[in-house]
Amino acid sequence: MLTFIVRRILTLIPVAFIVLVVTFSLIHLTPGNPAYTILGEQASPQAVHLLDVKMGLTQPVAGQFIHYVGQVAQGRLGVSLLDGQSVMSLILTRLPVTLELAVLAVLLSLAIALPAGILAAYRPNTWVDSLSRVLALIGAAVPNFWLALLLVYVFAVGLHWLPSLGWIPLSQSVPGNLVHLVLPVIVLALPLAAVTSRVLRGELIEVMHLLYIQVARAKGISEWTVVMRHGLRNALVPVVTVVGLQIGALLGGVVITETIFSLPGMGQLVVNAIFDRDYPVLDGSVLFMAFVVLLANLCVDLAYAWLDPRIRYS
Amino acid sequence: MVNSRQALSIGAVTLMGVALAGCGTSSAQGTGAATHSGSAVTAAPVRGGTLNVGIDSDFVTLDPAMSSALIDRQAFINIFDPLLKLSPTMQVEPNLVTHWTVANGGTTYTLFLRHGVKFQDGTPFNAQAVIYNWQWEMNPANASPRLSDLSLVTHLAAPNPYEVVITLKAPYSALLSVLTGRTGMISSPAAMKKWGSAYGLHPVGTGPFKFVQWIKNDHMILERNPLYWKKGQPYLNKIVYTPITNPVQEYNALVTGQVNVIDSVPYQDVNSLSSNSSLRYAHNAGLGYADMELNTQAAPLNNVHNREAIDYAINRQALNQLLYFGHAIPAYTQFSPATWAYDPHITVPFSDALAKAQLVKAGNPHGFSFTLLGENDPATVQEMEAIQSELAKVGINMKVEPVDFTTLLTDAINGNYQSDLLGWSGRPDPDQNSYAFDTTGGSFNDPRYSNSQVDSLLLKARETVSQAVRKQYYDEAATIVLHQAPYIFLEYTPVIQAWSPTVQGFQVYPDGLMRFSKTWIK
Repeated sequence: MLTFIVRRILTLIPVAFIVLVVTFSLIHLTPGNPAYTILGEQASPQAVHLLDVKMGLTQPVAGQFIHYVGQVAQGRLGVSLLDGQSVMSLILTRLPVTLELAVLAVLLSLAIALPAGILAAYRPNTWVDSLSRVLALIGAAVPNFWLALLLVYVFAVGLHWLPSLGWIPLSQSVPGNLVHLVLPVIVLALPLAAVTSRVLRGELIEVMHLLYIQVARAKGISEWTVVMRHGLRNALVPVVTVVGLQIGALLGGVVITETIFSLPGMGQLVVNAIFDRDYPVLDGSVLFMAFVVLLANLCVDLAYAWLDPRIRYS
Repeated sequence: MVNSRQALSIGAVTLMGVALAGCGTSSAQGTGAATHSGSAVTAAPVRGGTLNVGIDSDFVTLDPAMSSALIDRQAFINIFDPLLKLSPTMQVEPNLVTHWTVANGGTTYTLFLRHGVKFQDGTPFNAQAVIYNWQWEMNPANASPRLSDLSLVTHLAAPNPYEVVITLKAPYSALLSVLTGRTGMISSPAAMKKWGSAYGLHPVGTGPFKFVQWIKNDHMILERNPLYWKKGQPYLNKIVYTPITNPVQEYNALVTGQVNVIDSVPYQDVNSLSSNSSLRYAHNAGLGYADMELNTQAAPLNNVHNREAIDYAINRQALNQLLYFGHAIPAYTQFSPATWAYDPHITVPFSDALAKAQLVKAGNPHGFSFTLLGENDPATVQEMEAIQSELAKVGINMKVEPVDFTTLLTDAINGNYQSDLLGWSGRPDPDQNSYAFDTTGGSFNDPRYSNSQVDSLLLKARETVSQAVRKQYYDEAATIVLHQAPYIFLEYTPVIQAWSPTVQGFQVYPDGLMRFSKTWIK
């Protein structure tokens, strides 16, 4: 197992390198000079050139890339072109927001998807199943920016139950923090829950027709125990795969959700870095997020072994 | 980043709001109950309290010497007191400069500074501080966007601690207006030296509020400056700015009480504001405008008749109704109704027949094709599509190409475009809205327009003191520019700001900057 983990962690290095090449190339291929966004249109060509030199942008792109990779290899992500703040400190300031948002969204999605999927599988082709299927379809189809504004309109503007936007750190107020996260977490969780519940339903229906389930029933075990202990555990392996894959999609959704709810997380950091052509911030943030996705997938792989003892890594 | 050139690209139904405002002749403000451009002061001001302010984008830098973003000015106006200030009708008034003299045919300005003013770090505000700031900005190595404001300065002197003598290489009638903006916002030299390149994260000025904290994309906090030179002001203890980039969400934040005042209101919500007794708002004509830039050096828009055809073919009234819900004013020049240079008689008619006649003159009786670049936000794309459909009626095939703002700006500056949809946030003096845009080689002259008569008129206007005479020059120049159409001016963009009734002593200014030194919470 340990060998497996070490090997998987080592594979992060080439993957991270590829991510870096792609991000660096894409943003440098995009037209636009950050000097203009910093200095404004009235800046003289000399001023623009001076700033380009100061930012190291007059070097060939390949040279800039090699320099950047060298820095990253030494654990340095550089500083923002706009204000000189350390990229790592910018990421660490925003990470707790995105992390909390993502973890709560996954937990809420599971809290919705597990009962919905189990009920639908337990009573397939009944009204419960149909309802679950329709809700899942809506959850997967509704764009999250639209859902966000709809929820704000109902729960913040109309009913005044919840704040429409903003963020309070956990360290400042736990209830304040949670209240501000209710709507963004729902927005992120519903599409996840929709997909997860459908996958769980399908898997569970399949598992419930297997022989060992019939044996369990023949032994007189209660239906609850049959489903929860014998059926669900085996149906969860593909569900965990889906949840793991959705971590990447979740980080994409975070970008939009954080912007709408004015949450100071990684999503907003990336969006602003793209618009401002703040190359070090963008490269550093994307690299960091790629690591998070890769680590999440590693955790998923490890979870397989826990869920199904027949799976062994060597 | 929202730059002065972006805000007016209607990008924002709200972003435009940031744009600026104008009061002057065409202001209309109201509430469900009261109708004032500022909240009515019905009782003595109360000290204390926190004002929560919604702004439509985050600040970029808090260093006035390095700022080019429009939104930064919302913070600067409260952290830094400009040397001269603007009245609600955009007149230049004394502030840290108590009076001034102009000599040698307009090439020597002597500024007399207020005594006893201190920076928020306790160091004295004086002539040395002013000169230190300007010398720093004039040093090309520092790449300050303020350099162009000071490009005519040949010498700075401080005969005594409260007197600054500016020598110019040529008369510059807009100088006093320039000193009401970022160039007139003086930083503490001690703080500049202490923080160096990180000064933009630790600003120190002489304004009513001092900087406390800025968490990017989250909030910025200012607190009352106990050293402020106006005794008794400000009234508020604290201001918290929250950037809310989604216009609907910014408005929602005001409705739900999460913020007390917002810098812009979506156009579609303005009418509902008038029937909402729990909110106050002001709706004024702005200093700025939305316009198309046409590259006069690139075919097919290097043909003046093709450009004129576009001018005639666009129905500005219809655009105003469709995109601004009737809250803007059709534009034909760079001088908005909020400035003294505005002339309502300089217009062109909306006429498909005239447009087609111009196409015939151009040798394109069946029209031509070109591409319009614009920012890739929904409101701008909607505006581009509306223009596209207007032009299609006379046979002009306009391709719409949405791009991000940095690309748009870079292409515009480098002349790598046929036409673009940019705007200008506007300034109080007409020189600031025309000279760099229309003169040959001007720093804002993206269309590469060149006309010796316009060059001469705008230079004369710049060097003339009399406002009446300057107005004549600007009228003449504006008429030529309108008919040669390097720009297609579309709408003068309004400033619409709203606040809760507990906010008192707040007044909306034509430049859209929210000044809070006299604001208090009921």
